[in-house]
Parts: sequence; C-alpha cells; structure tokens
Amino acid sequence: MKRAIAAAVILSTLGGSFALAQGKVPFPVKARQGQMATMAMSLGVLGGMAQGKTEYDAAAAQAAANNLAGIAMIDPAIMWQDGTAEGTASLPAIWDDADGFAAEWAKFVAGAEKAAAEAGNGKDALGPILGALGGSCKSCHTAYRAN
Amino acid sequence: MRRILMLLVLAAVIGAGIGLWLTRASGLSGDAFAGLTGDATRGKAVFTAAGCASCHYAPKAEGEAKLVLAGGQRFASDFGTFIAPNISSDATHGIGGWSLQDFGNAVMRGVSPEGKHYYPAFPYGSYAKMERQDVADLWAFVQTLPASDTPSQPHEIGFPFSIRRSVGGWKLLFFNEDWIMDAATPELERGRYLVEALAHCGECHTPRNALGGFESGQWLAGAPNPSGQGTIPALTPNALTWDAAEIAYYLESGFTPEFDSAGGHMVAVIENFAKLPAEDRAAVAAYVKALPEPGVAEVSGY
Repeated sequence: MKRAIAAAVILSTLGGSFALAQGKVPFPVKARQGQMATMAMSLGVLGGMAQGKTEYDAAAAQAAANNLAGIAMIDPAIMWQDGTAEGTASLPAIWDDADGFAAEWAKFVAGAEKAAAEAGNGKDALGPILGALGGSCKSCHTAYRAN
Repeated sequence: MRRILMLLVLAAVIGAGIGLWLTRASGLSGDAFAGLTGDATRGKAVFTAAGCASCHYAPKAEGEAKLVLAGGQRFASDFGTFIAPNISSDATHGIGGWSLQDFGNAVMRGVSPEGKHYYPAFPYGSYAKMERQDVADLWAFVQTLPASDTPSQPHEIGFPFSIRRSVGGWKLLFFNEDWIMDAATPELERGRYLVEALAHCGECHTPRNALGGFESGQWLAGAPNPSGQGTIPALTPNALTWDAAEIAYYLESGFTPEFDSAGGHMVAVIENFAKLPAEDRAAVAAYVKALPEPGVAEVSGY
C-alpha cells in the first residue's frame, strides 16, 4: 500500500512538472520554433547540395524551396504575438519596431520566392539562392534575436 | 622619525617614477618601417581580414557607406562603453594627417601620435603580431578611403579606467607579441596569422579576467558577451564539433551545419571572411580544429 502511494506521489509529481514544463511554453513560441526548425531543414537540403555533400536533385531541391515558400506565407504576426518574448531569443525590438521586423520578414519572403522560382534550374542556381536567404537570416537575427 | 618619513617619501617618489616609466606609452622603433612601401591593393585584403570597417563605419551604414570610417559605433564592456573613433582620411577629424609610423604605433602598439595609450577595445594586442609589410599596405589602402568630418566622441569610461595611464599597466601585464599556438604547416601558419593577428578572434572568443586580460589556458574557450546579452561560443574541441569544411562554410555563408544562422557582430565577421579566398577560410578552419581542450598548458603562455 505504502509503495503504491509512493508510486502515485512520484507519478503525479512527474506528471505535474511535465505539465508545468509544457505549460510554460506558449503555443506561438512552440509554433515559431517549429517554423524555424522547418526552415533550417529545408535550407539544409539546398545547402547540402550546394556544398556537394549530397548530389544535386532538381525535384528534391524544388520541394525544399517550395517548403520555404510555404513558410514565407505564414503571417509573422500570428507567430510573434505580443507578450511571447519572455524566456525566448525573440528581442523586444520585434514589437517595438514592428515595421523594421516586417521589412526583415519581407527579405525572407523575397528569398523564398527566388528559391521556389530557381532551385530546379541546376546546382549553380543554389549559391545565389542561399546567399539571398542567408542574408535575410543574418540581418533579421542580428536585429531581432538575442545571440 | 623624521628620517624614516624622509625615506618613505623618497621611496614613494621613486616608486611613482618607476610606475610612470613602466606605464609610459612607447611606440615602435623609429626605423620600424624603413625600406617598406605600402601597396594599396594588397592593403585592401588586409583591411578586410582585419575587419577595420566592421567597428569603424558609422552605426547602421550599408553598402559603400561601410568604407567611410566615421566611427560612432558603441561597444559596451565591463569597464564602460567605448565609442569607435573617426579613422577616415579626414586630416582634422580622422587620421589623414598621420604618417606610416604614427599608424604603425597605433595599430601595433596602441599608442597615439600624441604618445597616449589607446584602450585595448582597439585590438592592437592582436594586431601587434601583424607583418610590418601588411601594416604598410593597410596604411596605403586606408588613405584611399573617403574623408568624414564627423568628430570622434569621448569614451564613456568610469574611474579609474578613465585614466589612460592605467592602460600602461594593462599592457605591462598582458601585452604579448608571441604566438599562442604552434603551427606545423603553412596552412596552420596562415590560419594562425588570421585567427591570432588579423581577424583578432581571441578578443571576443577568449574569456577575460577582472583586469581585462585573457584568462590563462582558456584561449578561444568562449566568453560572456561584453554587451551583457548572451555568450560568445567556444571554438575549442570540447564545445565545437563541426568539421573543418563546416567551419569554412560557416565563415563563408553564415550557416551552421544545422542551418541555423549567425547573428550579431559575427555577421560582420562573416561578411569579411566571405570576401577572402577560400584557402583563408580553410586555413582558419584548420587552425580551429587544431585547438586543444581548454586548460592545456601549452597555450596558456599569454
């Protein structure tokens, strides 16, 4: 009986802290972190081919570029809702300078559209695509992400 | 009693005299650049590798404006905020009136033409290891850049660091021209020259003690960001597991192997590295891969 109670206590504590840990991360934060991870994965496909780590495959490159173009269609205002900066790398400047943040996002959109239009054109197309996309990553991360 | 007092005063005067002598600002010897002629074309590559513009262009400058070294960027630290000065070719507000010797004293010794110490936020501790020919080439190139009449702003430094003489003490303790790592191959030598001298990687990636000197045995072992936000990552093998090709690609593209991207001041560093030949990025990668774990005595001699 004692053992059962102890087990129940441990389980409920574990369950409770698990729920708490989950509850700590607001949904928009989870969503945008997943979005960033998906961006990285798709970029990785293009980057791997550009570096010659994997062989160029027009269909796979196009699919990765399409993913990026799809992500670019998500409204950043939904992902970066006000009041969701705490405990994340998102800087307050995202909300204090909404126009600047929107301009950075627009650079990514332009890069993703370029990728979707050109990624299937051969390995040599990937360098400029990655340059455009990487430029938008770096400038946005400099201004709006804690590094 | 009076005699003891006199002796004490005498000792204090001698002590102060020795202190002043030890902390004086001394530049290079007068013939440091004898026989050297600068080549501005070569100097441009030195300029890029040394990252001069990254700190000295005006805040938020873009494109061609990055070649106007008007100063004004702010660099927070534990000692206060340093504000990059105007080093454009303007004769009044910049360094247009300098000689190659003045430039060499500034870059390699942290000494101004007036014989004052510069604060080591200006990474002359790294540039001290530069080849004299590279300094001459750099000077030739810097003189070709546009002039700006933006006045330099004073640093916002608290006492006692506001006394420039205190930098003499810093130099006495920490200024060291010796290489930190051994370099067995020409590639490692080139990598060492880029990492330890020109690109001055250690200035941010090595932790510092309370007096602002590099912590012993912690070369490139990572450090808190002096801006107070986040950390500057370790490049040592205990922390950095990327292979050499991945390091070189990061320096070219800003993408990590996981395709996260660089941000912050490293973006400016990557912008410079991207302009250098691929062999230079490979040399830096080779050097980084040769780093020992932190705490190894061989690299604690600085």
